[in-house]
Amino acid sequence: MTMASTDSLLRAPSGAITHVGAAARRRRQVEETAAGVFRGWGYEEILLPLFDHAEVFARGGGRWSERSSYRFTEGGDLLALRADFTALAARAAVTRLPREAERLFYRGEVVRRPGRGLGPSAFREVGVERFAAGAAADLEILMVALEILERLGVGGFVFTLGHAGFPLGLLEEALPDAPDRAARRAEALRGIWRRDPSRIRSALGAGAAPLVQTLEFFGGSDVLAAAAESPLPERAREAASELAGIARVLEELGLSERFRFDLAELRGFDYYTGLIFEIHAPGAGREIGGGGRYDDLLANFGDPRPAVGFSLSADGLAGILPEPSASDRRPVATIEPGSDTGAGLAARFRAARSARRRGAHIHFDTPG
Amino acid sequence: MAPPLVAALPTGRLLRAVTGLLRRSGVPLPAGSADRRLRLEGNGMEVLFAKDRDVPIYVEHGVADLGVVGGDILEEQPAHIYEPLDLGVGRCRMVVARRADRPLPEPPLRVATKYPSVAARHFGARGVPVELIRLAGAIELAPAMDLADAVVDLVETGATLRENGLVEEETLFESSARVVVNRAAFRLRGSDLQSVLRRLEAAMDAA
Repeated sequence: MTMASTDSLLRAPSGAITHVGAAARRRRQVEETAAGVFRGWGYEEILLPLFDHAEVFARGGGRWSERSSYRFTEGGDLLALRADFTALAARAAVTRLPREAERLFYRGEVVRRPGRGLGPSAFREVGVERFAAGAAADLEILMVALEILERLGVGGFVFTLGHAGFPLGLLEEALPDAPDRAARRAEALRGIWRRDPSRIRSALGAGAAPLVQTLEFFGGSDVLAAAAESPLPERAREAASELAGIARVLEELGLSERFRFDLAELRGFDYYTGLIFEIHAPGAGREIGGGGRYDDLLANFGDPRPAVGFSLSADGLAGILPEPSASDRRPVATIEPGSDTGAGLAARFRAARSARRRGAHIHFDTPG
Repeated sequence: MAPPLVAALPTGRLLRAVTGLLRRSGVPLPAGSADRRLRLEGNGMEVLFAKDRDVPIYVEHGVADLGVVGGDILEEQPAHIYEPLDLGVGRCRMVVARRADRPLPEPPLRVATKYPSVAARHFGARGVPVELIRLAGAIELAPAMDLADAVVDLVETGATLRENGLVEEETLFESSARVVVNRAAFRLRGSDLQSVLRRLEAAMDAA
């Protein structure tokens, strides 16, 4: 064997990661638990392609930078590895599925170029798309995500809820009708994403005050009442009132402790149109999941239909799952070593099959 | 009891200004100094001393709940973190500088810098073709030795530029020390972090 071939066998390209043992089991545990909950709420699994036209992902909105996808040409078409499930599911819903398909779930990997050339390039996700309008659909996906986290035994998690209409409504009102409006809007959005009041002020000047104040509107549902006290443009007022409606239902359900509100939440994107949420848990330095409503997304694929969805990070959750308890482990039947003659092997495999029929895990002991 | 808040502070030029502000603010800090040790813990706070460019990385990964870092670093390597407070200390400017004894030549320009992303964005937006030369320090040397036509660098007073025969051509942005916060900690340790931010704001107002 030459040096060069040894080298490329041993070296993995940056970002290519293999999981085995507990790391693999925990990721599958997240996926299987989530799939069970999704099915229980009436969601249908959709198996999406590993690659598609790059344009499909571009139309899917701003969840990730186009430059971060792995792209290649085939037969003159520009294709991209799956960088996002939502775009693929939205396209499938418009072009492939009957309109009755209103609840879809997916699980698998998305692939993106690692930021700054480091870090992983594949991310395991599970998630849903719910093609419907209204508070009931919003609450439904929150309940689905909540149940998955409860079933996984994740401790101390918190949902933070916002509404795109609140900061974006205030932003539209604050932007001057000037030639540099688009640049100011982009700068103000960066200020909101980074919670940086100085950037919002430099983008909006005298009109910045309401948005800067929005950075303070986070906490329990009382922040919604506080926000409603100030004069608001119509879109922001409706947003606050929609959230207040959701807050009342969560309170009725006795779930207030799990849910916080943050009226500046945009998740670093500007394609959400309604509810926005992010989920955090102790031990995970980044969000373990999030989602929201994107009523304009399906229109990009030719059919204006409302949609709301979320995804959970199987990698993020795998890192904080509780240790499995002894009662979760199945009994293990050890098949003792014996003679390797035909009859001896037959006896051992008979024992193995019998143990498997009882549901036991087996350890097939082979000498040497 | 809640685990200590973890703060990442930058070693180097900002450290003195930032620790001064922290002590005046009354934010509880561990005793001791960072002469040799990279971690100090006490008073409900753990402090890490990291290279300034590494602070956003510790904070983005959630190893630190909050940190202090110069705006120049955040422009060069944007991180998915919050930047809620400009401390106003350690003020500097990011500038394009050239040799005092000759004007900038016609492009393409050779530009030496520690901030290749900032430099590429600046010249790219103006359609000026540049050859970027990434250096680790003592940037002023590059034009003097004719390695580069210009530099993009952070200057405090401009004295170092002048002493090395350079003049400022253009200011890209002002930079000062900023508090950065991990996005998960912002949710999960919100009240602890708000209390630190309020105290720092009060100390800034008093200064």
